[in-house]
Amino acid sequence: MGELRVLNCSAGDIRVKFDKTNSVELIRARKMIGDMLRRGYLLAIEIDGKLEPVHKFDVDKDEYIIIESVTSSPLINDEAKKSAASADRKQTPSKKSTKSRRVPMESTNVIAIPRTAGG
Amino acid sequence: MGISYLQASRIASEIAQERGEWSGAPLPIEGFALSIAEGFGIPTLDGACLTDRDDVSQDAQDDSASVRLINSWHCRQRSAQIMIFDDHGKRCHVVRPDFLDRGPRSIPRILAAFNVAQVQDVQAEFTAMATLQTMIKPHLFEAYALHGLFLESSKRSGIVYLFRKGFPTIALSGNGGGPMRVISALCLHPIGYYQDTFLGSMVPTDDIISHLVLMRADEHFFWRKANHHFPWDWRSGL
Repeated sequence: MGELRVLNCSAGDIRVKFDKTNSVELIRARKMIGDMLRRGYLLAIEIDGKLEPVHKFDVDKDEYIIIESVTSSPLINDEAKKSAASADRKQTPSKKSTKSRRVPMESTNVIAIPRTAGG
Repeated sequence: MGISYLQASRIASEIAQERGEWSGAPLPIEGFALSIAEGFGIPTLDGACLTDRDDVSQDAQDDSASVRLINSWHCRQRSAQIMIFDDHGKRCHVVRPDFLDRGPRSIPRILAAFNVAQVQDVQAEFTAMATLQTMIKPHLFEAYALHGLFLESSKRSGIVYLFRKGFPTIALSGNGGGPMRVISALCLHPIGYYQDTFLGSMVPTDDIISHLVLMRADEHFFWRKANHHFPWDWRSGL
């Protein structure tokens, strides 16, 4: 069963299970996801052991939509190190294409991070 | 009957959740103003502090009104901050070695933990630690539980991150097995932070989780949103 975890000031984190048999929890989860995406939270979804940011949420189908980048050459090299180190500058152009992917919410875990401030 | 800081903190979070801010809201404390993320649902919390800091800053301004800072920069060769002042129309410079800043400026920042601890719940920290335990390997979690730090390298960029409880995350670059070099100290807090402290509005392990999630999910975004401090800067916490 999928789960939504939201970092929280007073509780550490709050958790909501995506239980299709519990309509109250399901409605709450949908509302939370919609609220958070609208307010600029970063929702990170766990897919194949990796975390990917959620782009949109389809309320009708209860599916997350993520944008996957398909890189034609691997990025683990010196060029990638430089590009990450200077991420606030212009990104290194690479041969990338993107495709969207839908992930059902009842089968995935998501962690939500609110807007952040640099200290 | 009065209420405690912790009760007030829970109430503030419940009110924020009713307004759609599911991460709750931080509580202002005495002596350290809140700095809130741009776009957060309760913007009036930005700058909120339980003491009137305006009076303090006004006094400081009155004392130094005749001396004006024109420019300042860091000199790596001298390990010092160079400052150019205008003193009644006359230019003068000051070379302030880094070691003079480190103790006097870092210690109050570290001791601020006692003020912030009043509004943070230890149970929230335990919950956050339990969450972190599910996200990293057991030996790394043991290192974190014992010493408050762990390492993880980015599969995408190869940069090694040193996550530290209550301090900025250090980004390190290795040179093919040679000595590691500090690239930057990355400071970032979900919702916001208490100014002039190392501490965020959430418990320290939630700060660590946010760094880890952002690094794994969107490393560019992490670097873009975090404040970067040089390793010789006392704000790096090194």
